[in-house]
Amino acid sequence: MIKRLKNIMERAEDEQLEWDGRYNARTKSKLRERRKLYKDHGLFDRWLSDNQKVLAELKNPGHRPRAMAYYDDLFTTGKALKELENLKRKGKKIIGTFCNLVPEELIYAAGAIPLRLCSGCFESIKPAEEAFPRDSCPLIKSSFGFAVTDQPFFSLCDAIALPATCDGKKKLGEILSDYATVWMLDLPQSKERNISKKYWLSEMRILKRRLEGLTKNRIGRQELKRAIVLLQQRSSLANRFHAIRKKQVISGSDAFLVMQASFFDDIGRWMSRTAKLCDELDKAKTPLASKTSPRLLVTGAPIILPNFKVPAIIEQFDAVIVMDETCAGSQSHYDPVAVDEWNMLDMLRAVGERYLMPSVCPCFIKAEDRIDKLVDLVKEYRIDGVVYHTLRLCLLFDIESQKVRDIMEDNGVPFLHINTDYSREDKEQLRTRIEAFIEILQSRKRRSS
Amino acid sequence: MQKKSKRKTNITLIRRIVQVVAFILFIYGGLFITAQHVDNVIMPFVTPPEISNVKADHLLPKTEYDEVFDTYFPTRTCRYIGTDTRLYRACAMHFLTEVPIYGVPLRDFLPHLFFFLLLAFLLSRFMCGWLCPLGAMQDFLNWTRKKLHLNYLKLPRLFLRIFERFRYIWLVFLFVMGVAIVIPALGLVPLQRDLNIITCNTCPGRIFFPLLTGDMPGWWVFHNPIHAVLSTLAIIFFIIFLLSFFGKRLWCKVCPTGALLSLFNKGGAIVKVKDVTKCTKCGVCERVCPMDQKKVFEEKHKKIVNAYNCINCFRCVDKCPEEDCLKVKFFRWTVFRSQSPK
Repeated sequence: MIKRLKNIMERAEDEQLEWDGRYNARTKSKLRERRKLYKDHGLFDRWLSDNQKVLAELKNPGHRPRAMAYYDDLFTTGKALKELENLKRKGKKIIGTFCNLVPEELIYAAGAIPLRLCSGCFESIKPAEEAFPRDSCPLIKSSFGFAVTDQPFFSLCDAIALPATCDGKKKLGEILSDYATVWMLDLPQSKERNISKKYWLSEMRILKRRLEGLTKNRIGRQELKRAIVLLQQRSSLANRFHAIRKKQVISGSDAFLVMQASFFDDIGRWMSRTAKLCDELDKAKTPLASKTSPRLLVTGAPIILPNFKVPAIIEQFDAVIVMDETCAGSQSHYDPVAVDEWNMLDMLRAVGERYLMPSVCPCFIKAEDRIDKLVDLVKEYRIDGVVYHTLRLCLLFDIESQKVRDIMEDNGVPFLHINTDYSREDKEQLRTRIEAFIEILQSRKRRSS
Repeated sequence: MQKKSKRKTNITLIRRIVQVVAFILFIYGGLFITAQHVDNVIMPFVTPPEISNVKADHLLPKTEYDEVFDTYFPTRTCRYIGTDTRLYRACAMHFLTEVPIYGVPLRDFLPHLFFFLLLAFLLSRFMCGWLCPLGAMQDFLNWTRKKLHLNYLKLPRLFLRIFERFRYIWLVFLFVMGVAIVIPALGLVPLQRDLNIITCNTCPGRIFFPLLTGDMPGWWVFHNPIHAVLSTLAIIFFIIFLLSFFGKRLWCKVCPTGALLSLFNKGGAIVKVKDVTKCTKCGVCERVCPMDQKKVFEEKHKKIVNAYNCINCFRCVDKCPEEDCLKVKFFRWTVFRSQSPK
């Protein structure tokens, strides 16, 4: 009785943010046209072949750990897709997510599967530009391209949970709602206020209720606890992996690959495979680079396969990316959920705060947390130079780069700002810039040693 | 890396053990430790006050060493517990507010004061979190709630601010009244009986502790207006104390002893150090704090993050997921530090 009453009261408190669909009907016919146009586009296969091409380039040195073959396989064959399709046929619900601000604990607790849709595919930008402004960031356009053409993984999703981070993502939800059910998570603009935690908690409650409605499974205390413990294990595993990167036994692009495999891979298998990889790397003794080769930190906009332009170029030269601070890299599983008490409210609070508070996304008002993080990483990973990667038309990262540059220069760390997009045209230009940067770092290092 | 991967210290378990041991010692300690064991060896450095010094005749002082330690512990070790079971005579607040009415001579008063100051500087509010029997009882109440899987109540910050002001006003009031009732010019001397030791008359422990040892609890009495007012206040305090079933350590936010010890919390020997760059601002420290303190979370410039109200339960350090972000130092030795979960 009391629980019911509580439920009713909560429901009365929280209003759901949704599009009522009044303006969707008009675009429906257009939508059909668009989809017909790209019916045989085969975007997913192109994505696979793109991945193949990129990974073939990476495979140059013999240093590559043997366990990496599993991740290559995931990205180059349709294995993961088939598995997900099978699960869907069995009645599992699949929730598409964007950014690393969607609480996966709740999704797992509801018995659904999260599937991160952030894409790095160049091919999908063209179809997207028909329904989305040209002057928006390539990540959004690329992800949206899969929606327009109704390609996997997008076509698998029963619903899409989309946090309202930057302007592009905010409006992406509106346009995506023509194509699928979209649940917007209204992200507070600042993290420091007391009210924003409360607000985000109510957002968690809404998401929980929506998930329960979709999957028809009740998210109870036990289920949520199990999911939290599982993801805590994953985060400690990911942290172990990143700690190993200090030894320079794995290249930065391989590390990106490992982290991004978790976007769509089965969580249990990903964890066991990554544990195996960590075991192999623990034993590995020969570092990828010599003593004078600079240790680099990549930060800024996400670098998602097949857009591995920047790390691939960097690691062609005598340099290793020892750490990254991007939301599709080390940030995605970094923080564990710290639960104080295993009751529903506190778990929801803990889950919500884990996603909101330590987030270093530039969409928040302050950049200080991010700079703190970078300064700490520079110290802890003994970084020789910072490569700041921004995607063209992503204003937020671009603006923050000024502040980060100042701070890094104060700390005596050379800084390279690269502004690029998903196209491969500026590859040579980037190569010369990166080469010059790395040479400077090398000579600095040689002089100091 | 290999060195750091050893098992995490379960600080909360250690604290619970210490709390239970301290609880038993403070309340039943007299049963297995007797004065003969320690008399003249460790403790009593004070001779009991002579009968001639006493002014309030209904509070007869001791002529023998009834307690094991003939002194006063800073946290609440109640004087209403039977003399054969308790370890200390009473709590320091009781003593400090009682000194004027007894007219305790300086040579008797100073050793007790030094003992109090020594403990206060060494441990400050560490005693609240680890040793205080009232704190332990609140933690027990809270633990029961936790086991019942009930949600906890978080006080609005407005209440916290009110409590913060109130407890210092209350502390000053207690000391002022302690002195005022012996000054004839103020005309409160006839009311000495009623206004004596308001600390004890409003303390929630006065009901609890004697009941545990089978003694007569100091019930609230309403036979004159002063008593009625004080008893009403005592009932409010008692309710706040019982409400810590729902909130964490509610009484500790009002407690005058806590207010007094808070003053030593920043310059004490126990220091919490934060590495600001290591902090990811995840806010766990604020969420798990039983005293609802924001200091550890908010501090961005200084290294030392001791808050006035921190009871040194080290819950924030325990839960902090960043390696070495928070450290607890006793003088210059690192006693405990945060570790990433393994």
